[in-house]
Amino acid sequence: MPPIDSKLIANLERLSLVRFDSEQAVANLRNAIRVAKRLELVDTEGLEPMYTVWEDQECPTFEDIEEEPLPIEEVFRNAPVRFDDFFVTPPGNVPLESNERFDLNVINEWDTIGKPVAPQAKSTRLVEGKEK
Amino acid sequence: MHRIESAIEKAVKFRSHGIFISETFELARRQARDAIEKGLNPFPVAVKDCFLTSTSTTCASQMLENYTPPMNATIVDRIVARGGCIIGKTNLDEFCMGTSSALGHFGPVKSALSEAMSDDWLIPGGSSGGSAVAVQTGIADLALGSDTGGSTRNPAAFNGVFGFKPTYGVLSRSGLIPLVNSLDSPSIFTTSAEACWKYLEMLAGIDAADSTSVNLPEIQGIRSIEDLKVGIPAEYNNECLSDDAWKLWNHAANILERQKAQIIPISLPTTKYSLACYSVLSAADIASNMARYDSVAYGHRSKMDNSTYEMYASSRSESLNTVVRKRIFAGNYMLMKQYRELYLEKALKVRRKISNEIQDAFKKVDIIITPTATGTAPKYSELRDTLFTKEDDDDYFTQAANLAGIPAISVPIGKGCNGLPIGVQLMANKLQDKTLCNIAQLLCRVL
Repeated sequence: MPPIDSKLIANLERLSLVRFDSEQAVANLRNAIRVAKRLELVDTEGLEPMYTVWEDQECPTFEDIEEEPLPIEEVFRNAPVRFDDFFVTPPGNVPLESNERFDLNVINEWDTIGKPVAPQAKSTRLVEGKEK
Repeated sequence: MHRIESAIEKAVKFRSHGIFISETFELARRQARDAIEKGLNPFPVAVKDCFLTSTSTTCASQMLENYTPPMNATIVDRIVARGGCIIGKTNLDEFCMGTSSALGHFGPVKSALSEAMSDDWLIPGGSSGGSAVAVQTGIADLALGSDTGGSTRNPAAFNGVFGFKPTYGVLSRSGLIPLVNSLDSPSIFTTSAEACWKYLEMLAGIDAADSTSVNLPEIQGIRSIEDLKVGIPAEYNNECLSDDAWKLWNHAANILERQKAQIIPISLPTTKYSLACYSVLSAADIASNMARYDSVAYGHRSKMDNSTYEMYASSRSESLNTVVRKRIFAGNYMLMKQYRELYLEKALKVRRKISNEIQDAFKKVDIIITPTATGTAPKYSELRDTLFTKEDDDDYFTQAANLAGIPAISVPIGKGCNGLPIGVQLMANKLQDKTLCNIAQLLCRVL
């Protein structure tokens, strides 16, 4: 198992646009890699990758016919921030900051010194179904 | 109308079991009136909350808590057109990731086969736990679920109902929030094999909006078990299989043999790598499928929004649960330039190997019979104490069918010593969905 370093952690946070929240989260990644490594034991000599079930399927293309566009109010119905007919986002071009927040030793020695905590179930509630 | 009112009453009665995320009682009543006007018999339906319906669709995530889609999933429209009335959107594992239905944002689904306490309950299986319980409690005649690695067959087995995953492509995925695009299959929960076939016929058919959809060919089906060749794969009898589940699997095979079927032992050696294969393929697709949740056009938006990337990262980290985040990271790792061939390409080749083995087996047998899960449903406390790793043991039995795209059905075959249901799984070759349902029906008739 190649050891996990802060460069990898920062890189993955930038690629995923999600943050690791604890040493356990990074250790979970290590476990996922460990499971994936089992595939090295399978002999796949001469086999082509199988991307889909229907490999010989004829994929139909759409005719170039004008369709009804979605009404503008439907497009914006779920938008958190809107200005006239624009979606609004904060300024871009600022790389995601990824400070060294974790104890790399705990991560790489997780099997021996890690203290895993099970995820907890949340409390039961309903969402209001909007009847149209 | 009466059926719908009684379904609504039951839905309210079982509220503490967390079956529904949103209730759509008025919609159901309106759909019933429309059905009667068209001369159809209205029947109550529950829809897993990963299928778009214009009322509300959350996929059990805070990310989509306030999301209302502009359209319905194709199979939802199709079932409503045949008289289906949607009682509500059922609870599930967040973004269909998991085999417990316990960690969704709106709380867990608690099996109705046991009392629902606040700190412990019987797991209904997953990820379509809510749909399974909706059928088991008699709220819905039909519940729609999805099945990517066993998400319909597993909860069906744990709740003593039928869970049917058709051949990949037979049911349109348009409007199903995708998990792993080449493995996802909308699936059916109901109370008999006959009903599984009846509902499949109502919903099947090419959809212009889903270019991976295929037509179900007209085939004869099967009238009798005599001379049927039944395959028993040795690798499904592993250390995790409980004695109860083994006994009932054996019992099912004996029944078929007594009906003059030929029992043929087969071997599917690469099955033991299906977990590793599935974990890589699903992580890679998930990393891509989850990338759309950027909180711009829809979705939960964080208050930490100094820059676009910060806003994306904070919104996603705040509103996606641990399981989802774990898979996104793993997926992006497997897709990195230096690892892609080693993991993703390799997993795709292993997928072909598993699929080829199954295709070779169907040259010798007509149907394959295996257990659906390791045994009866666990309690939440048991699952939590294994840090949810027990889910992997149960997933083992169902994943291969998704990798190969073949139809599979879980049949409630009996009960374990603790009185809880156990399911047996039948698998047939691609597009043999009718044969599969016929055999399940014939098996049940002699039980």
